[in-house]
Amino acid sequence: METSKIKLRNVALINISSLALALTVLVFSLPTERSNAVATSKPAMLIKHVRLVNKEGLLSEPKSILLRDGLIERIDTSIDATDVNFIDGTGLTALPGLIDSHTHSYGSALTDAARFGITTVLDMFTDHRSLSETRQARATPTATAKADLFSAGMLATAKGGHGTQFGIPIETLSTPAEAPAWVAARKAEGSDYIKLVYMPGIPSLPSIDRATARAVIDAGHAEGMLVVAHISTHSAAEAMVEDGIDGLVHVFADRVVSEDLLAQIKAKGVFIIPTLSVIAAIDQDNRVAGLDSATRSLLSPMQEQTIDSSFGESLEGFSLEIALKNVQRFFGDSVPILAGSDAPNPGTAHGISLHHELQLLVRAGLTPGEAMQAASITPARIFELEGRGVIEEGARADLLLVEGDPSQSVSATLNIKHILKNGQSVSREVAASKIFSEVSADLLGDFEKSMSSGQEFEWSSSTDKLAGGNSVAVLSRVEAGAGESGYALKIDAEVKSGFAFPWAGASVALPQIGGATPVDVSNYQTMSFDIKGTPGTLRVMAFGAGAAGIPPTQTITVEQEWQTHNLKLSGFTGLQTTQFTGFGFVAGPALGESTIYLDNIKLLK
Amino acid sequence: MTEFAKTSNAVLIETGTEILKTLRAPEFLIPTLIFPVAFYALFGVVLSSGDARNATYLLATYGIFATMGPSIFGFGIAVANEREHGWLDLKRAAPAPSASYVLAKVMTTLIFASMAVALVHAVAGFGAGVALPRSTWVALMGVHIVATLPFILIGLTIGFLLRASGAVAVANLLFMGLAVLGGLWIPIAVFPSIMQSIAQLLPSFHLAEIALHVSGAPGERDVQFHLLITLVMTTVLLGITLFAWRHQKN
Repeated sequence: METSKIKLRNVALINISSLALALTVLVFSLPTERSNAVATSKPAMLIKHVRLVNKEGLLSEPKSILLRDGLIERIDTSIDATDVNFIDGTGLTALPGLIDSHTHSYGSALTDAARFGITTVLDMFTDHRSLSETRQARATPTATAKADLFSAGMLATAKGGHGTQFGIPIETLSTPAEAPAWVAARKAEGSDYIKLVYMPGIPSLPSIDRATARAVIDAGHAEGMLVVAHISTHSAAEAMVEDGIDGLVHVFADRVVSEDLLAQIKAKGVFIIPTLSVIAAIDQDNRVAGLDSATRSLLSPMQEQTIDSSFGESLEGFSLEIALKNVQRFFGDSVPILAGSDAPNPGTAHGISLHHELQLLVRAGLTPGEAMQAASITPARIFELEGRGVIEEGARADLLLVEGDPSQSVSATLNIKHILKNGQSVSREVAASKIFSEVSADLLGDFEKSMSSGQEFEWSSSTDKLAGGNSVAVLSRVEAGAGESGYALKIDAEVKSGFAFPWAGASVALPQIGGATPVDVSNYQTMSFDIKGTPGTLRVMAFGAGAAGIPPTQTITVEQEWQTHNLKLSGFTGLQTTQFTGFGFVAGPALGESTIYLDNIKLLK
Repeated sequence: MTEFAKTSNAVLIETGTEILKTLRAPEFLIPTLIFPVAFYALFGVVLSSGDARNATYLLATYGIFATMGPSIFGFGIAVANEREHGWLDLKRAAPAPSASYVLAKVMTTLIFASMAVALVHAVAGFGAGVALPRSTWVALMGVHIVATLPFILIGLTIGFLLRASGAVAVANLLFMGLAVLGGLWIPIAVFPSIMQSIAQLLPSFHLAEIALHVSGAPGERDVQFHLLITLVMTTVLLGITLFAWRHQKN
């Protein structure tokens, strides 16, 4: 009797624990990234008679490279293939798609980088809310015109410290005890590594203290992540190296490295991303060899704006000569040097500045081949970027084909003939559909003369018929404007069942025929409109190019009398204001009929 | 042994017997485990023709559906049966804590409901192309498993108040009603508005809304409201269950 009781109890315990185990295993094996969501079957690409930059930064004999499904399928002296696209590589040199190890990615950063042959970008602080999208984008080698992004996400800094001035939300740190939870939160957000800012002793700029910095380093290591530090002085570098930092994301330029620090950096295997480009910009020495008018014409508005801007004056402690000397000493002592531009700081720009960085590394004493390694195999090894930074079978088909021999003259990296990202050609042109002009007028509709907005926007009904639903909406211009206004837009909407999320209403949008060209409304803060009608709620949606799924929405309450609503554009979470295509005003998902009057739809600065 | 140790020991032993009994009665086990996952496979995978967004939406609602089978059927009908055969009286007379009978039933139901949920999640992830952040998978599975509790109370009430034959009929009615009107099979938005209002009265609808919120499904929903309603409904159900326990008919 006793034994059978024990057996029965064991049945329960074994069952419960094995079920708990099975659930745990299941929940951790369920997919988190959509596999081959867009299975593209683009034709393969064969590059013939091209010399390759190998891992040593030297040139090989001419070879053929076959690219298929986003990867390098084969490299051989001669490959015959049919049904493929050809590139004649005679006279060209193929470099692995370059890696910029220090950027801040926003705006057109990733397309600007790709258009200059930088196919992988290591970001050192950006808006963490963009990370899940970029992680998904880089996971599969599908056709894209953007560089792949790896990022530190949010950076570790003090309240009011460096990094907080950009308006990107940051959880600041004040005590060491906060470090483990802070690091765990970064990991959960999708940070690939941890970046901290350690700038002690600057009165106007608070910094986390050394104990907190050390706690962040320890917490990062406990999570299995690399931890890198922004420092600007020799003494700050000493402290961080002593506390176990993995890498410095700038070289200090206030004094030449001491023998003691050099020995410590070497012994501890610390790597350095000197960011000579930004130091050169601060030191008013920002000349990019090879930035001829043809290259300049390839700059996007953002690139042009950032490369032409300036820190204003040379700052003490930022001597390009000292920085170059330090790089020379570090490199001479086998400290890993990674090429990073710190774009888009003033005087730098995404893409182009990495080429400038290579030139500066050569000026510091690296050979052109060694400089190219600093932008390919070295960061790939240190940041464990599998299949990047090398040209070999099975690697990503990210390639840069240039004229001339960059292993002899590093400025040849700018003689770009072809860029391939995931096996597909990347256009070097600033695509009209990628950089958008500012919206040409702020009035999207007053309906005084017609339904049209007097510019490129068009008013039309918008219902779930698009998605197979049954809702209907009829628009008309009626003589019942708000206030002084003569006419208004009348929307007779009937939300009917038939689609899971039914809607009916009106939209003011750029014409879809012929592919809408979005406009830039980032200079505007608010949208404003007058509305009245059947009391109830109405959803206001904002449309942007490249957006997928349900558009960002704000809900308003409609009343019988005219009311003016001012909605902050920032309230449309996720809207890319640089790629705006329109607004929607819709009823639903509650079913029923409603009549809505709209007037004076405007954008306000 | 302390009172607590005694009770938990008794609960574990009873749970063991319940598990063995359930495993030996596959005519109960297979339908409750297979039915939800088969339905999900049909609507979420086959009929949504590879649209992972649809499959993600339906994962949230079918996960709730999966917990209803073991709770309402397994539980309600079994209790009614055992009570009718006088087994409950025997139990109450036996020298074991009387709560252990109920707690063991609850444990067993949670175990089989979890299995049913796990099957639906596995089909979603590996068959329907649903991809979610790890934390969302964990949270969604948690919501689905916890959602079993109000349904267990419904099952218990049926078991305490009805005869076996009546329990089958009522359990069926409730099961279908909660599933269909709660929007677990297809979103309630496709129903006429009168049916949509009924949904507001059903725990299955509110639980599904919570699960949809957790899974990040499109649409606006007031998750605090749904949590509050669920809590209130669960408390009311608990009261009804306790009432039923005291007023069992034989």
